[in-house]
Amino acid sequence: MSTLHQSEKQQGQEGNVRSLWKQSVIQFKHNKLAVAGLVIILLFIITILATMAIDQITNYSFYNEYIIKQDLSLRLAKPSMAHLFGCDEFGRDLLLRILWGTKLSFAIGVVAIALSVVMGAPFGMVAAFYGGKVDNAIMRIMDVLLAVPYMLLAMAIVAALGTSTMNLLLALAVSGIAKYARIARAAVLTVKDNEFVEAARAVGASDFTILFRYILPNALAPILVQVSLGIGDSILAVAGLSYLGLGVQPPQPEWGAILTTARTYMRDAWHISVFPGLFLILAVIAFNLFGDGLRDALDPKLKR
Amino acid sequence: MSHLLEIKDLQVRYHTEDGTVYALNHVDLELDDGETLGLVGETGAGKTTLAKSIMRLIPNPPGKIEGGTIEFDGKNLLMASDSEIRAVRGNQISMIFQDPMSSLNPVMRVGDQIAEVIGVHEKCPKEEAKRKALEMLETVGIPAERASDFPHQFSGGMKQRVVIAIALACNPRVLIADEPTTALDVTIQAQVLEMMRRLRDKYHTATLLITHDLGVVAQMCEKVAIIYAGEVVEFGTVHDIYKQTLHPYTEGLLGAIPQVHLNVRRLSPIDGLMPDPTVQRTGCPFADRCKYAFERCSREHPQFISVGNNHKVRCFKAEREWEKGAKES
Amino acid sequence: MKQNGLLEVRNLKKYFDTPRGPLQAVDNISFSIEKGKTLGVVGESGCGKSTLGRTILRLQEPTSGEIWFNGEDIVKYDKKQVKALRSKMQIIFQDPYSSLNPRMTVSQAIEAPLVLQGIYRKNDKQGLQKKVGDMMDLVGLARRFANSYPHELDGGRRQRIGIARALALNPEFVVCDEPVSALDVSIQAQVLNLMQDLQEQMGLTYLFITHDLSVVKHLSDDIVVMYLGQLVERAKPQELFRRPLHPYTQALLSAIPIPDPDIKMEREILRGELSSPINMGEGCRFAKRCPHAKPECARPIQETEASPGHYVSCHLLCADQRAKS
Repeated sequence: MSTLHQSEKQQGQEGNVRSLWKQSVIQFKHNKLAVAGLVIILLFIITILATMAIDQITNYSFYNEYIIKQDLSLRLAKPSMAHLFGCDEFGRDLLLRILWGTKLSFAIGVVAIALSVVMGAPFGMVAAFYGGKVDNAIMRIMDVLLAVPYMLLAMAIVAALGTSTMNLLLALAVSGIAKYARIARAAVLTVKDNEFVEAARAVGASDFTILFRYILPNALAPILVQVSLGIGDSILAVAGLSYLGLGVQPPQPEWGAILTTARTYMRDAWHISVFPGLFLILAVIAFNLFGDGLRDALDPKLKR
Repeated sequence: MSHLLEIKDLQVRYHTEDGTVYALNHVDLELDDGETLGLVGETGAGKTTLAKSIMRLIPNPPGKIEGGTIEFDGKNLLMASDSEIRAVRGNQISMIFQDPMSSLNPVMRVGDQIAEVIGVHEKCPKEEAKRKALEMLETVGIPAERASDFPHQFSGGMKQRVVIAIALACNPRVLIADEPTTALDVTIQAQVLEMMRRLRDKYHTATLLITHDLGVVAQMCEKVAIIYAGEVVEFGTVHDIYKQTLHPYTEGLLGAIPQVHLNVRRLSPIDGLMPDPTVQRTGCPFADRCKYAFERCSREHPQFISVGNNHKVRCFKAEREWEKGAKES
Repeated sequence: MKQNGLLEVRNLKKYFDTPRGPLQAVDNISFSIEKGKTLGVVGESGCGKSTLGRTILRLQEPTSGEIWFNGEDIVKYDKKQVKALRSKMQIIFQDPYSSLNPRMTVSQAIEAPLVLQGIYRKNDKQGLQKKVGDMMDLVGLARRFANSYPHELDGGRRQRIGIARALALNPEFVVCDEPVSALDVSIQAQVLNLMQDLQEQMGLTYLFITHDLSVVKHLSDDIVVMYLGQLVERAKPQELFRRPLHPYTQALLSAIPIPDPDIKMEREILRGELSSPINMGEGCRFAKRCPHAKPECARPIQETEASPGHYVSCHLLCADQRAKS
């Protein structure tokens, strides 16, 4: 087309071809609080990796010696240079127990959410995509799940199956299914009426292709945001269940479990409840800041 | 002679992360009492920025008015204080937007929405404002008994009538209408335009009609300003613009529209695209797309010169021809 | 059954269920299009013109009626046949912003139909690249944009991607659903000319849907005017513009603002608003707004041939014709 050659020349913008994801990264970097949240999360992840590495290298001798082994002479010791956060009711170093506890708190939180999304989101997507009776059937079942309080459902499952880390994980995952089904449904509903979905159908794409190649990538952003916000909640829920005695069992270190025992000594040894509590708050805030930043970065409406 | 609204050398820029957007560059425009001026341009030409500048509604940051004056009734609006400008907005100068759906409050009865504007600006008692609101509704062709309806109970055309009723409620001296009929169907557009014409004759309101539709302008306006890449490139009476077209861009626009009353087999589009607004250029912004462009066009920036009775143009070719014509006569 | 033209639509109906009753978006519409020609479909919002286009492509299931394409009634096609049909019938959308997947590059968007229809295999990178390049050349899109995302391009270029995607399968018939109404005038003309060129080059048949009579005038071979789900008039463009017969067509024509200050329009301003075709009675749907409405307009209407090739559905005109004969 002769009409175009001139215009194509004048706009030499090949250099800054960037995808929506890359733009979001740039947007994210501008949000200082969100970056701070991300840094904190990364620090926690480094902690987890470091504790795991130490366990592997020392073949759990360090773990057994300092995390599990009791030393009643240091029972409820106050914070000092030797034990920065003090010691717990069995004389174990609190800082080390908190650091080693990060792994379980996070792992259960993250894996539980991941399972919730994997089990819940497809229901929501299918419901939104097909609409009508399918939508009604799936979402009414989800409503029943939603009607039972999150924590109560988790407690019931753990109580029925017995207390173990696996059951805790399962309980949290199941209780999150309905939430992520709803979120996925809402996200797909906003995307599926775009003309590009119809365009894909017009060139003969199957429902499966349309759902996974056209709708999902565009609906992913709100789901991701909710996931990042949900991890904070989930870590809190693990701690909560452990606090109720339904979660991680002693002597394994976990923030909620540490808090449970700390309750008894609240008057004599404030440090046992304050420090793990602070870490819990820090983790939840970090995930919330990160999630907020992610939402702002991924929401095209906030872009100029 | 002083004009009711006179814009001189207006420059507006948006400072964004991706660089500075030169939204308006040296815009000159004038509007007289009771006159309808059409402002024609394509997406991104700066039409809405100009309208918002007059109302001082440019969001700052990122936008900033960096130079020039906007004189309304002899007073520079750019120097006015916030309270002064609020007294002007809605009362002396009002504005209607393209999308009638989003300019009405969905949870407020339309009668109350009109009465509220009257109440704020004329400081009259509630009853009085209510009565005037009903009168306004009748004027724009909506039965008064629908005053207690909510916006969603109206169709698009009716909503735009309500928006116009709100804009004209305080009998402003200037009405800025930003694409008032673009979202409407043709038969509804015809109704709304007809009503606007009737109201203009009745209230003698000076109107700045912003549109991309050269048909609407030809039928509604006395004067026309063509805006391209943030500058007014041609200004004159409708007759000047449509019949004695000087600027190649105006010529291009007129050639590119399909017309019902002509028989053409093929349209003649303007080549290329609007220049990147983040680049400040030395020459004429239209030079790259202009079929008459010569060497001077990309080197120098043309001045906005007057070629005869109130017909102004920003183009070296037109300037040359005008000088040649002046010498000959 | 013998079929007229490349595509023939017979008594096509598409109803939607709404709480207030069936919405008759497309009601008993029949027409045919010759190969290589363009049929312009004109109407205002809510008249069912877009639904008509989508129903013909079987993007929406017709309620009843027949759609004859290449000698077969495609309403009877099963899922597999419909998929194969996609390579012969395509659509260009109105909104170049929402009709492209924001997370796919230009070349991915153009490749998608080729891969989906099995014309190229997904790992045939070279073949695909060549084909995409050819398509981009065809629609006048510089090849360096192949890896750009739609949001980086302006409306005109995006619409060119939409056209390239639709034509990549080398279809015979293309539904153009308001392809230029979201574009600026100068760009609009570029795209309209491109579509005309492509029609000549590839022998395409267009169903051109628009609300703007002036856009279809110069590129249609036939024009049909729709009002609330029904055809009210059809004729050759010259005839329709010179001698519009239906009162709605007349109003539609007179409502277009003419870009010439010397031609002051004799406007025939319609009263009332557009409604939706829910629970429609038997009679003329335009009667409520019609300046010439008479009691007999409540009776069912038949399409009459006012002059050769000029059909109109209006009681008043039928009466006129009877009076004449």
